Amino acid sequence: MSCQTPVQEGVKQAADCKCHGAVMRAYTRLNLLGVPYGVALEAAQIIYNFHHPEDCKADQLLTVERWINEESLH
Amino acid sequence: MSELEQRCVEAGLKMTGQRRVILQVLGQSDDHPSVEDVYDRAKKMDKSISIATVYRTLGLLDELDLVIRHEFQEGYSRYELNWDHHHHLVDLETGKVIEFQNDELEALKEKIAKDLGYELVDHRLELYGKKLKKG
Repeated sequence: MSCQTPVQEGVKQAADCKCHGAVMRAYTRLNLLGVPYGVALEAAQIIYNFHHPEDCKADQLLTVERWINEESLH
Repeated sequence: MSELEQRCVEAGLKMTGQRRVILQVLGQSDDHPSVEDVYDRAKKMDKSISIATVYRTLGLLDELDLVIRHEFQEGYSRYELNWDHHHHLVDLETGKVIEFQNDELEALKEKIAKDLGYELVDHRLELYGKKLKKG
């Protein structure tokens, strides 16, 4: 289930990670449905955790937050 | 009178023709329109509507809790009708979000709170799952 992408300083690169689409789809959709930021972020982290249980929680959050911020800057 | 208009009247909002148009626009929108989006759509139905009227009406509807205002880190607000209560099931493999309603669940939540000696005021619930394989 894991994306098998190496961790770089705790953060996975969005472009290399197969679960990126699933994580971002859920976050974006929940956001559009009016779910508060923290809840949508937690949902995204749960999906990420499903694909990358090997990462510690702090790294999971770092990665997901980075992906979300990258997306919102584009 | 539509159900939505009825809710507005019950909340104390006087119904004018322009407000009806704005409500109609919101009711027909399945996206989350910005003030400008609502204005553009309303203008097609009633040329006399001004952007100021749209701002005022959305502000009033927001105060009355009849619309939900979203901030999506875009620098402006988007609106949707505060319509139905629902929950989400998130597909862990695809990220797809499925909205659902369940009366039994609603009753159960009330019962749990009551059994614990509380009146249920708010809650949040998200389900996460992966699709069952057929066969």
